[in-house]
Amino acid sequence: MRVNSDLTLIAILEHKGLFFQLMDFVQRDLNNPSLEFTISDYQKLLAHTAASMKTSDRRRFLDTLGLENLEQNGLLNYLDRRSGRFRLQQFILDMLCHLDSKRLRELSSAELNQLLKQLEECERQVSDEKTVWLEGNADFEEMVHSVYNTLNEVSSRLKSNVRALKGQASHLAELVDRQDYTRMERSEQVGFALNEILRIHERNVTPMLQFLDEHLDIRRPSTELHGSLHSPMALVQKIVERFYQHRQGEHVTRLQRIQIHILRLGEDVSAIAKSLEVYVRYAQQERQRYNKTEELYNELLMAAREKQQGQQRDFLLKPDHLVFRPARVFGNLRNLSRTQTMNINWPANSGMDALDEVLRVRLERVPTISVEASAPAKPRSKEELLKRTVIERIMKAMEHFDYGEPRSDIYQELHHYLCDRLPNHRLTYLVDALGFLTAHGQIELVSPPQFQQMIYHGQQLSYRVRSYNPKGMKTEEAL
Amino acid sequence: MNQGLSRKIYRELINGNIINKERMDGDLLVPNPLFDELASEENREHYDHLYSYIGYELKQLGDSFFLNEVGKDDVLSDVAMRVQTLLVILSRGVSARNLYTGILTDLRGGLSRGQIEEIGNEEENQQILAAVGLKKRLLAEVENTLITRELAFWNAQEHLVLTNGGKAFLDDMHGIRDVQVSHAGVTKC
Repeated sequence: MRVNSDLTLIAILEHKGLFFQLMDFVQRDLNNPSLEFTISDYQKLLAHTAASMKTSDRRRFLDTLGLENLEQNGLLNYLDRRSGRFRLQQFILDMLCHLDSKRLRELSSAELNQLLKQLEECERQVSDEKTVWLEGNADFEEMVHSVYNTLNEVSSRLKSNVRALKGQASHLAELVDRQDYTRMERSEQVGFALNEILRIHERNVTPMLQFLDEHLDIRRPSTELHGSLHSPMALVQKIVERFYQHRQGEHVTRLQRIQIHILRLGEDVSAIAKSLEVYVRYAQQERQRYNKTEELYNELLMAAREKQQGQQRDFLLKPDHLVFRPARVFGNLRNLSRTQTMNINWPANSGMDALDEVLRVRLERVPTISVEASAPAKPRSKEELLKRTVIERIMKAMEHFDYGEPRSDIYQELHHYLCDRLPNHRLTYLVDALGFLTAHGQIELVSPPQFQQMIYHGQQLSYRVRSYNPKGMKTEEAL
Repeated sequence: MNQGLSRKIYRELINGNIINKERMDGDLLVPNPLFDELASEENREHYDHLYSYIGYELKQLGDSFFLNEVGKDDVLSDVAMRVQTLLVILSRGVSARNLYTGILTDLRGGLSRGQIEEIGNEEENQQILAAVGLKKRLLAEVENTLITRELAFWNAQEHLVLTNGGKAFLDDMHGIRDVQVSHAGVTKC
């Protein structure tokens, strides 16, 4: 029983899953891109789907989607019973693909070239001098129809292409992002996804961007039709300009609308390209890493085998072997603490203590070094200048100190001496002055220990009493 | 310059360790104050000078710092040789298992001890280890060299993951361009 077209189309849409199964089967298992189905497969699927239906529904379902009904409603491109194959009309297939963006196929470079040829032919027609640009003229009317058809087809196919690319790109990116390092099979899926990303980037996205760039001087070979070297979008612009030159304002407006729609797709494709870029870079890096790892590993293994020949000596690889050139970035990285006899003396808060000590020792040694050889450097800061001045003043004051006399409390004695001889004397100078005595005698703590305190000009010094005995003189205890 | 941090930095560097931009804190990677102290624009020059005055060169590899002795540029250390050997063996083990290099550098990834043992048991890898004087099992050598020098760490799942320094060296070894090697303030890409 015949069912009308409307209801048949609705039934196709209601049971689109059935057609998707057929499409998957021919595309994946038979690797047949023509989307030509076998009658037996289709009937098997129909029977399988109908099996779970009530009797009345099953009858209607089989009548509606039966091949005879599809044929009578003009929904089949062909039905070849001899070869047992049939093909749905293209618009049905397009409609089904449209319902599932993952099924949309990206336009290849070859298909984009076909569109370019259509545009070139269109441009040739509008540039034909024989055409009379008059409303009502049959040639003109045909040409206008042809122009609209061509531009609309280009626009529509490019738009489907963008949808297809978007669907594919997000699906693949999702696969990569879900990367689970602990599961090997996931890793294989990611590998497949990355390869696919590289493929669609190279084969679909880049050609599409080139197609949509009206300023791009595409270095593709000139088409065989007319040898045009124009980019596709420049051709569209030329077509629109011809209408403008012939004062076809209404057509110009409509055609420009289509042109803008097409150009706007460029933004979508750029966004897709951008979203894929990170994955493309990752995939390229992985390839590079894989190759480099193999290269380094093989070099290392060969070098190891050359060394390990069973000899008693020289069987180890040395760091200077060529195979270790990548490790040069680390230079002589190693534990350096073993080479240090002691830790670095970190400067205390003011940073002057170490300097003071150095200056004090230097001053002691002054008489033993010739002046020419040890000309002191100029002070580098105000503090250093002041310190040196103080040392010089103490040194001068200490010239007249009686080094030959023993002292029971050298701090006290020295303090009284400097109070008389050193203007602006301060308690802190005592430590520096003490240094001058060590060359002439021995300073040691008294026994039993005694503690003293002195206060001078607001400064307080608490100290353990030390005695001074000139060289060559016996200590009190010895006596 | 912070006195406390600079002392810690000195101790790490003089012991031949790497100072990384990030360090593990529990299950998380957190900024390393030692790296920040060294890398700050204000301090970097001072630290370069400080170490050059005491005979060392402060080097930066990616997001990590380490020390070299001045005047021994031609000498490549055993440590550097071993680091390269271990990383080549591990990354080969990763690619041979159809895994991605990201497993070595992602905090969520990492190689388990079992996987490292498995890699170490391969005959060719044992040949290589023996030729560079690494006599122990691969896992022990990884611990001795990569973990001790702070080129790698064990994550919360006890998987081996490379630190900033380890990753920078791996990238440099693989010719990945992001890595920057610099010394005494000069950076080359």
